[in-house]
Amino acid sequence: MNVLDFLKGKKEEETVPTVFRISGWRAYAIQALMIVLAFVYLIPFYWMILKSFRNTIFAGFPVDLNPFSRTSLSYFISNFNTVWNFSFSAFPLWYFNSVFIAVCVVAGSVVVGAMAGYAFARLRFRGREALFIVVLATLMIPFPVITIAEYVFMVDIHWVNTYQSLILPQMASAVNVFLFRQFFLTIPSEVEEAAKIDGLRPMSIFLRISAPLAKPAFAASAILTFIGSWNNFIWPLFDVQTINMYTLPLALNFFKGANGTQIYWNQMMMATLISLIPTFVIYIIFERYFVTGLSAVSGIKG
Amino acid sequence: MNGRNGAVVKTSRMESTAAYLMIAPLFVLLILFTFFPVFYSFYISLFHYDPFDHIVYFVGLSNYHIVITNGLFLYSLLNVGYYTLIVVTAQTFLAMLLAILFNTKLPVSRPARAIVYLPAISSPVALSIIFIWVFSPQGLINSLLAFLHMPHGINFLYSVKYAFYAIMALNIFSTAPYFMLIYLAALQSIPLPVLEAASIDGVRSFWHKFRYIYFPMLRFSTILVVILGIIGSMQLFDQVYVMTQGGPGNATLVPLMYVYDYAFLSTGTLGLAAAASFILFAIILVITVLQRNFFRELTWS
Amino acid sequence: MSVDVRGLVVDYGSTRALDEVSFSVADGEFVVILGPSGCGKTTALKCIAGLIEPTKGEIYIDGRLVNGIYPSERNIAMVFQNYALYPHMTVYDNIALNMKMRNIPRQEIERRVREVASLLKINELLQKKPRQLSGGQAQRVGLARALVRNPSVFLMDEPLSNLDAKLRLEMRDEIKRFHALTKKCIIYVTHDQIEAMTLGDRIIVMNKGRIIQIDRPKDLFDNPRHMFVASFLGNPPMNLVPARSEGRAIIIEGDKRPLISVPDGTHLPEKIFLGFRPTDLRLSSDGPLKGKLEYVELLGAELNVHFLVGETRCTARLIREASNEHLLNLPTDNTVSFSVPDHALFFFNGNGGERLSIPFQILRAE
Repeated sequence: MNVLDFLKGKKEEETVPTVFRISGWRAYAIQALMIVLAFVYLIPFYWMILKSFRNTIFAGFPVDLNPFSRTSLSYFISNFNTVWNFSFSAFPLWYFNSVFIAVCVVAGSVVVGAMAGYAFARLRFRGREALFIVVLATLMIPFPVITIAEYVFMVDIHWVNTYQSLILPQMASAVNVFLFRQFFLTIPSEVEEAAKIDGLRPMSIFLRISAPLAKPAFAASAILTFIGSWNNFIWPLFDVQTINMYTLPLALNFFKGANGTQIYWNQMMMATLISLIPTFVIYIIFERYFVTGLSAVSGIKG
Repeated sequence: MNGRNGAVVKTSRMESTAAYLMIAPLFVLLILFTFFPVFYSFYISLFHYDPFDHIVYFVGLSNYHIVITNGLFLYSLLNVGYYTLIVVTAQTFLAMLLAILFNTKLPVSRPARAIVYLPAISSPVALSIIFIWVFSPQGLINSLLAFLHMPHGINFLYSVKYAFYAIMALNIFSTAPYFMLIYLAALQSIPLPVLEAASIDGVRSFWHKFRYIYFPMLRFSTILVVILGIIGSMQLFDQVYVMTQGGPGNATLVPLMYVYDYAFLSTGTLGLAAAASFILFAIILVITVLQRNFFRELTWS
Repeated sequence: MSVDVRGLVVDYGSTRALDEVSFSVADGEFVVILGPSGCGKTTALKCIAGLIEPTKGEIYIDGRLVNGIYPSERNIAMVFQNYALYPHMTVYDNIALNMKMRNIPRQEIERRVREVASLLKINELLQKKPRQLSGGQAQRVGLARALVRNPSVFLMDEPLSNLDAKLRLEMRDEIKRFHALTKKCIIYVTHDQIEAMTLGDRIIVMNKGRIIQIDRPKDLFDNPRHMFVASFLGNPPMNLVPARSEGRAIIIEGDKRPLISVPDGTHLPEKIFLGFRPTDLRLSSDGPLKGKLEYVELLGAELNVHFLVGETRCTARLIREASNEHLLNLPTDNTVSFSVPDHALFFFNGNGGERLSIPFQILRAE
């Protein structure tokens, strides 16, 4: 299923992508290769999970890959407690920060993107083409390179180290606009026309007819945005000045250096695991959306 | 619809008003947090800016002069250029390979692909930390080397020789799956009749198919992957910060690391950092524009 | 005058979708806009509805200029090809939405919805959601939604195209009854000439953004004013054979013998198309129209005779009789000759396709 079909809400059975059919020895060879690759990609995470079930003693390869060697639930629990209660229970606070910020960014940027995407797709107004090119232009402005200016700006308006300074810049995203515009362009407009004839005004049509039909776009957009916000590092690095405002990436980094040059890997890995859980959970539940939704964005970006 | 004074409001007016209302929030955000910072960035770069001692005075283009003549920034640019070259090439090929491999209707395909995609959604910081272990003297790589009776015990991230390559490896590893998706989408939209016709025309073997059908059809995606790859690589930061901080020495210094150092680690050099970041922005912008024009040329052909 | 369209022009960039389209529809009239895909018929309908703003031209509904006025304020209702029902609302809400928007009291809404539902026999469907409905049911809901608005004009955009053949027949009847019931003006768009012929009081034939001819179905069929109309209406379609004029004679391309003669002074274009309907041909041993037999199809009580005139494939639809029974066994390449009555022969300008009304005489074959 390709991107546009997905955004149109077509079911898996309706679309027929071109997939290679292989049989015979080739099939086994390729599957073996895929298994090896999956294995290679899994090892770092696998080791991370195992390490959080262990203490600090290190034994080496390949013994460490054995899930039963020196692992125990009690180690897991003690590691978790150490990490979670670290620095006067700062971890729950950091977790909260990341969640709160991500949720706000998603809510704001998805709504803003949906409205703007709809307007660009369906409404006629003066300057529509020109303004859209302007939106396009923002994609050429990579965030990291304007981080300095963004930071100084926040200092100037006394918003450094605040939630709003962490949330608002991340909401200024053209990506969601593109996603929604593309989506609204490809759904048939008859239902909206019927609504016009029945007397609904443009805004009502958006709220009551088009937006409810855009559930796949909302999902893809929300997931993308959430992950972007959750993993954002460089902006919080500049903006946050006090420990209580750390987001999880900052917290991890801080945790790494907290014991001087000594890294207690078991606790480190527990911390990393805790921070990866939300994205993993979302990934497992919404795996379909990832493959199609993410390629939608990059396809549109080009 | 009658307006308040009884006059009839036209459809076009209604649509326009609604439209402007709906795009207003977006533009407010974009102007405040995207466009404005660009100009502000340039503005700051013209000053000696010290927010802590509140010493701010105009220095014109001297910041730029310092940045350019100070070999460090140029060195970081060279570093990131070298990095981009290697990483983009490798990850593009890897992505293409992965896509072709995983675009098969075999039972293992879907779960394996799901696993391979994990690094793409993981936080770069988390990945960096895990890979600090991978590259550490007792880590995965060294254990593997020991297991294979090869020289081991190398502390990759602390070695001037190997540190940068370690970071390259991490990024090739974790970014290729992301681009694999783009190739997958492209492969899946090659119309089946084209492939069937080719089979009938005698293009049987996989290598021939690859050369005459897949490769040309993937050209479009490859350009996209390369452009995105270059833009992303030039902005390398998270992994460097977490793993090496630019070291050892300046072996892994990249422009954004330079910007960060000068923004925070010295006083009064914020202007320098702004200048450096603006130069980087300009470079990326030029590359993007050039690539887009190149891209447009190709789409017309 | 219910609807009056004057000089409608719609441009999309450099493409002209509607080119100076003008027509009027009387109160209570059932008008069909007929034409192939892309001819602009839906565009014209949408302009009347207010969903598209024309580049130029005026639209009057009930004598009021409605250019720029919002669709819901034009006193129209529309039925769509793919029903366009609100998917997340029940059938009841679908029908009631318009009245809710106009703040009509709940009791009144209830009364009118039920009234309309009984008229269209969809009472049991009121609590269902659109995705639970069949094609025919969905379209009836669409009709109900339009009916309940009590508009001056009903606009219908190919409402039967999404239904299967059998259902289409039933629904065609429904729409006829609908018209008789409401006695309101209906503007109906379709590409199906049978629908047009059976439903319309008048038919507006369009092609490439222009109106070709407006007439009653019978007149359109008997008196096409353009080659396009002649070939579009009628099944099987009219045979069109290219011919040339030489002085006072009209000769079929590829032939040497003149078929038609015209009186002195008649102006003839160089290229002419001869038109005659398959059903108007009669087998005739000395018939002037001669051709080479290709094959014969047996259609039960009728015969479809395929023959070549010059290089043009032609068809004759004959009722089986003793006199033409032998055709079934005639080997290919034999010559067959037909006669055609004078009133069934049409002449069209080879350049432009306009109908030529010229006095003529069919020459007997030697």
